[in-house]
Amino acid sequence: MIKKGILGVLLLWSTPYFAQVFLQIDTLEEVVVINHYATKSGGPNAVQMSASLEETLDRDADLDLIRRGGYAAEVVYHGLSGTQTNTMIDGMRIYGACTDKMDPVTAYVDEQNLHSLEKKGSNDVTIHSLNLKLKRGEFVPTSKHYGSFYSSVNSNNLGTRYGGQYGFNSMRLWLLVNANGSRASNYSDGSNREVRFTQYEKFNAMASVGLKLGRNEFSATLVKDKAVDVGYAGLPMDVSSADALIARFEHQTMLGNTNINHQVYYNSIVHVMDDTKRDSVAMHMDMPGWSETKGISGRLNQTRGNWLLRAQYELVQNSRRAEMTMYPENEAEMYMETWPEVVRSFASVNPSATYYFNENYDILVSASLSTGVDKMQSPTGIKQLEVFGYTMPDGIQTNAGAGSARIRFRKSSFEHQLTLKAGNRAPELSERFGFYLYNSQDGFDYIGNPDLKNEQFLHVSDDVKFDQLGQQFYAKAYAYLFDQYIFGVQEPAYFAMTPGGGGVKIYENIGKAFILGGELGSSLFQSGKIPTTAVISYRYGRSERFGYLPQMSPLAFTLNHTYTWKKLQFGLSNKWVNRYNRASLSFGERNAKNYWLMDATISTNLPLKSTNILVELAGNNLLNQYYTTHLSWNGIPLMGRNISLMAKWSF
Amino acid sequence: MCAIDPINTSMKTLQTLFLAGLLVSAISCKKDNPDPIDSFEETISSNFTEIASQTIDSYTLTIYAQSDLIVGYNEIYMLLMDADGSYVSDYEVHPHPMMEMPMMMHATPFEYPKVVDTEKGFMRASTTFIMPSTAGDWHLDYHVHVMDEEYAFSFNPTVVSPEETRMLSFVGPDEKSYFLALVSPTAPEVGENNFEVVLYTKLDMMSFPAVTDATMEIEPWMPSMSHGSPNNVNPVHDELGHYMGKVNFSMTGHWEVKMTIKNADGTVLSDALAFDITL
Repeated sequence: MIKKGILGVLLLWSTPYFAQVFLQIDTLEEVVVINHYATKSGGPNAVQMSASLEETLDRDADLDLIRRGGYAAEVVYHGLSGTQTNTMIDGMRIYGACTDKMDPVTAYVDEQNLHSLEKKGSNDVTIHSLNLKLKRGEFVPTSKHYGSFYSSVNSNNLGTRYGGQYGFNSMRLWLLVNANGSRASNYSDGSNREVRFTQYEKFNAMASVGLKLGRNEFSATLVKDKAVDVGYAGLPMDVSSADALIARFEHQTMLGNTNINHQVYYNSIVHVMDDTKRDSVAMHMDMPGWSETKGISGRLNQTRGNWLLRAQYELVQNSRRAEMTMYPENEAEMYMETWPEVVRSFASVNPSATYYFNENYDILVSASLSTGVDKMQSPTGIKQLEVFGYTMPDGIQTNAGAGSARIRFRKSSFEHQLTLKAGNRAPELSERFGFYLYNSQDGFDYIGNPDLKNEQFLHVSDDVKFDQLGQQFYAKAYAYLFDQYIFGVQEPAYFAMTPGGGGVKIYENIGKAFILGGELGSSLFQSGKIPTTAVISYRYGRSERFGYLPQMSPLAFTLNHTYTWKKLQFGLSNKWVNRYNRASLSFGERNAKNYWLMDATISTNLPLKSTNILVELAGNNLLNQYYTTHLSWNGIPLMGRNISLMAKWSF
Repeated sequence: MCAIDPINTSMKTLQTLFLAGLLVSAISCKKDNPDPIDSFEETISSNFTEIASQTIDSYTLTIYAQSDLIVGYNEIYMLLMDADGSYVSDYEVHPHPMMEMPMMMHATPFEYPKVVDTEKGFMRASTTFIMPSTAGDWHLDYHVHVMDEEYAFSFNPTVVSPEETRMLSFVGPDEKSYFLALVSPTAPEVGENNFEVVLYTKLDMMSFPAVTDATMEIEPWMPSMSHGSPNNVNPVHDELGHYMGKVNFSMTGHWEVKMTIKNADGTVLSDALAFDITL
């Protein structure tokens, strides 16, 4: 489950190349390998090699998925909201263009673009960040071409996926291109009923090139992602098109023992909602959204004696807007700006230092400071805020800061680390400037509050790991304490704008809140016949004023086995999740029943001359459970039994 | 940027408008306009519509409005010129608006002119026409007193019904007729707008005094979506039957501003009033 860069460090500690190699280990954070086609190793994440990005993320005990349809699930880390977790694509800031969170960042990449997911804790202003690392080529002494084609079909929603990749690695140049498509019809739930508006279609392509000139390495990457006709069963609207372009230029070099990396990037998202496929809409609406981000970021890593020093900086400018035009019958059309155009510009610095006292103890100290300004560009937006009695200054300062410390003790097979992080986060755009953003789950229109204060947090995490003779056990416990917690509070004096809506909520700092959680895990018999992993996880959250916090996953237990017989590899995964009876009613959540998901796979590799064909037959939700999770938006049921067949030819 | 929209400006600020207008044109139009100082005539002609002009003996009275005259509240501006073509600054005007119908005649609510520009003798009055010209002939008579002489100017303007009603009439439980006219907003915008109405009652066919002791409540409402907007300010009496408040429109589209009017005793005169306002 957890592959820590530090394990690598541990092995390399005593070698003379320590410093050199160390620098290549980019992060000390948790890394989840995403691309299973590329990895043939076992492990719990590799039970199903044809898993989609969302399926892979869903198997991670730290992560849960908010599902609003059959596509574009939103990742939740430890029950934290999307604004408390920062999701990036390979270090690039990117912000969805949908006011209703229909386009989480993870929707704008394909698993084929990705190398791994980094779960970062220390080096960001936000509590956590998830970094989707893109695949890249390598500079290698002997040139090599490689590539693959794959295709898969699903029984449940007649979904198909296909794609191809070509790569070339050499001493001074590498190339990597891939193109991927997928489409699916509506899926059926565990009672074999079709869940309407869960269809989707997506196309994605990535091209990346790397060049090495002396000590300088350059790379350029372009990702184009377009989803069309995406159903959102949990929402009153669908998406006709979600389009992203991501571009990045990167430079990396070594100066003495300092590794320097810079990147300049740009991304642009256009997101268009669509209500024309729904049977009954009170009134037709157009709701497009735009998001554009430009950024420069860089980092320096240096080893100096027993110190590992690291500094990062970022200059980012994000411009976002979304509007809504409604067309009542025989009446003038109505127009408003749900996200009046706002440009958020910020600069952040993040110095950190790790000191290795000896082989057993090290300490990491890190600080993050971010300063910026939100400027509203739209005169209409300023006028709209007047309605709520806010006068917009020229710009609203957006400052945030965080500091963290981590002490780690390692001795032979034992590792213990204690992490402490405190800081605050600036309100997100919706929280500050959103204008009647309809939350279809609680039925309220949300209105931003330009006067919000930063949300304060304190995070403590304690991780223990024990590894003996291939049997690994770990336990982690964590707590998040918040003050000035940002939450929507009903304002009874205001009218809902959305027809049939329950009212208006205004984002406010509601005081204190906390999340407690933990995981117990083990990885057993890794060199035996049936490698097995087991994980139990649980989270609990409350706020001072509004009872249970939303998004807290109930007790969940996962058990994975793999088994190899002759040329066949078998995988079996069982996940049991307890009932959810702590729904946050003030967030419109509903309780959910307990469920048990069983997945199984059989795969084999068929060598063909110097190439390989991987065939995998997978069954998901074999018990055909009818289930909803605590994060099923409006309680939509998830997919019932699904059998998929995947073939991949690689050279 | 250089345009000055007087329609947005309430009566009270008109004087400021002139000064500011000249100033703004002088400053901000510098780049586009090599001759920065607009003449008084240009300012008038760019901001007002000439309704009519009449010459009696050596005096010419010209009346202006912000647009065509409509059923409802109209600001009417006037200038008096003598035979030399110079503006007369010292004169008095007594308006006598009258509707002549086949069977009867009646007056309509109006306000006496006040001087806006002392030097040029530019005056502002108002007339609240309670019906369109299709019902009969409007006579807008102005008795002008200048140099101890009286001149009776008489105009015959056309009054049209605006696209959205700007005047409502009703009979209260006291059996009196009331006329409620919308003064502002004339160019409504998303956000906060000044909301100003004027209330008259009818004593007899010739007398329409202002009601100065009513209380009013407003509620903006979007009928197609069944919602209102928050933080509105109920109009309160300012002077001469004018009531000033604030109305908030959270989006463009068709709004109704519903009104309830009570008299000094708290008796509801009407709670079924609504102005349609489309942004």
